[in-house]
Amino acid sequence: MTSSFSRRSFLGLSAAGAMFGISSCAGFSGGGGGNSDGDRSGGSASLDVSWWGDASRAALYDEALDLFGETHSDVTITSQFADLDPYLERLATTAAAGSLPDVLWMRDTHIGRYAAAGSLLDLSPYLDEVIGTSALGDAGVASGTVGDGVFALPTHYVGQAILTNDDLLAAKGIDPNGLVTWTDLADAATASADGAAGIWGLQDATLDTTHRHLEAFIRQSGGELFTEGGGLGADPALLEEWFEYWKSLRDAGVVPPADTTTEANATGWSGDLLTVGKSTIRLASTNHFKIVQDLTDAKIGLHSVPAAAGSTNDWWFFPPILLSVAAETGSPDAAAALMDFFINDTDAAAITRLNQGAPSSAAVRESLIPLLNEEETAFVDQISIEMEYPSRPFPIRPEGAEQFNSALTRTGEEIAYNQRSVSEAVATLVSEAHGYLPEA
Amino acid sequence: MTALLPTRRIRPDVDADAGPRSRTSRPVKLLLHLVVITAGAVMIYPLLWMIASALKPEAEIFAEPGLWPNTFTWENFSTGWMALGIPFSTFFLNSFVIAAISVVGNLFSCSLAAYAFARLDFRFKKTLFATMLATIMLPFHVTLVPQYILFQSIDWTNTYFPLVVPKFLAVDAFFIFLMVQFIRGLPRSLDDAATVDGCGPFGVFWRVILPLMRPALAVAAIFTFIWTWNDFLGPLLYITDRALYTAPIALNAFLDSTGATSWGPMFAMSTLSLLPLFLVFLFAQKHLIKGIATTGLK
Repeated sequence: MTSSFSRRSFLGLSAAGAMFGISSCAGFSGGGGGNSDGDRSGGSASLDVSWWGDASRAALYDEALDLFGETHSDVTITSQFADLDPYLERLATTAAAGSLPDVLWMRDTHIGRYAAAGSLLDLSPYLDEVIGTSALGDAGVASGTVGDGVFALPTHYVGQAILTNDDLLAAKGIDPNGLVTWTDLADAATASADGAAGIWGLQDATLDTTHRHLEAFIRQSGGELFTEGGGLGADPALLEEWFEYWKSLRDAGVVPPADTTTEANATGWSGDLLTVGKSTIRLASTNHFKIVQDLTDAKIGLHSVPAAAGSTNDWWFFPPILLSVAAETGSPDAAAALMDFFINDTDAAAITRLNQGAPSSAAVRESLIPLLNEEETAFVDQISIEMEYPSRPFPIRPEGAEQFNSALTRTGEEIAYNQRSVSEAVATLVSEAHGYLPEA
Repeated sequence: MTALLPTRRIRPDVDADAGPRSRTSRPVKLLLHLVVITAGAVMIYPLLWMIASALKPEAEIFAEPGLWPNTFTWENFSTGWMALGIPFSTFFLNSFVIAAISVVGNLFSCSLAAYAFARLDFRFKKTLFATMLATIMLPFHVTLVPQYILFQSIDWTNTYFPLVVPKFLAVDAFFIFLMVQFIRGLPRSLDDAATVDGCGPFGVFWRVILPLMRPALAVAAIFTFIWTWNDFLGPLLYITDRALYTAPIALNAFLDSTGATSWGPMFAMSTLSLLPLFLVFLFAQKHLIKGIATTGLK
């Protein structure tokens, strides 16, 4: 058998491949930009900044970083981003290697774990010296406090809300402003559901990937999802009541069956039942209001989460979008200055606007108002109004909180797919949670 | 030990199968075809849906989930191409460079390793072979963090070195195993003849084994290309500079799971990024089937 695969051609091919790659690709230039060992001669600093999101968010934040660079010409800045799940995966790996990006956006669900592991810088020495916190208030600083240190500060807040399709509600003669209690919500949903037209009254919140509304429901009763010590704080009876509420609406045909919800959830906001006009009400985050309104021609309404009858009045809470500095950063001073920039600088906020939520600083929110359109103003107003209400402290998520969050989704699925009764599913949820959450 | 077993010729399996099949009656044949075609249509539907969605205006994708677009538009392609501020061709080129070097590396290193395991005698050969096979069963995630720390400590993050250098060190045990199986099927008398003519172990490899291994090399090359082209986690961890992104990482930049994903541009660019794989598979299909049929991996 003769072969054209001679040694000469083989060697030639590999050499050509290698030369081609090395000569044409910056990927082989070595060193790499960004990380803490970058060029720092002459007292200049280098910062690698990291956030989650897509390319459109990256364009805004890069523009803001350019603005920071104008006044901090001695700081070399690089940035990186990825969608939330890959972002968290990269964070976990780089944290294990001790090479976290210098400045990084942090989830409130993860701050407890990263701070306890010593991956983040204690910002206490910089507070009020470099990073202004007067516009954040004590609650803002508390949201990044783990143990004795402050390991993060909020740049933005999101809140819980209900979104309504006001056109569909008006056609049924229902006033969207009347959804004050959970019973009101169920009644309005039942009245607005229209099986013949393929319109559901309310979307299933138990199958969402986060369960902030359940947490609101628990806080309204005076309890907490987690105890101070990080254990499970929720009363099992209350958990049952929550799942029972959704089950009865699902059984009545007001809330769509599990497979419809699962299919719609897989498409994100573009295919959401509210966006495509197939449901009248859904629970959401406050910042989802603008996303949904931008995707549909129908008039979307934004309202506070309903309260339970006899609810506490200080249940309000606002999950923070946090910003942290890596413990091993080579330029802590520049990193702190950049944090202050993202929290307090009104020019930066004019670029990033409401992309991650409502700015945490009341002053920055105020400065943005003239730049905003009607929906954006409604969103900021909603958060500002709710923040005026009394709110008792919101405990830091303990280690195991993410696992409990996924367990809640799984419990919701088991019930929605009729694999288990509510009491069985909740009993399993609670007994398993005692295994991975600290006893407290 | 197995390498010392008597050599055997490649069996003409195809002919043995042809007999009974030709006796199958016409209606049964028709029915079988129908089943296969239906199954094929079901499998290809998501792909067709993606291509159709790439050609629809974004608002129509989920509102009109059928296959045929009401409004036909190329807009998703033009917005997607420049969505990251860098033309998508850069990401394709990056992916291609990594895939091409990986193919060269895997063919070179795995074939040498396979030759050693199949033909040469050395101490602890069986133990080493078993260890090598065991690495197939080791989940990627186990070595992820130590590997990252290693490459981080030699300052290789944000370069392509962590993605391609290991390929030159025969780390893909699957390909080594595949090639070992193939080499074991080659008659030993050829090696002996070459040795009589004055070839050393490397000469035998280079002049006899390697040219005969072409089907196995083709399989390894194709799979390496496909796996490297599709690899997400590796580039995600090591590449953070946007100009160095590979196609899958660039596609991820369309996703915003906390907000509104740009589905249209993402489908458009996904469609384009499938083309190289499709072409590779189309042109290499013959070699792939030949390679799989002759390496004992049926």
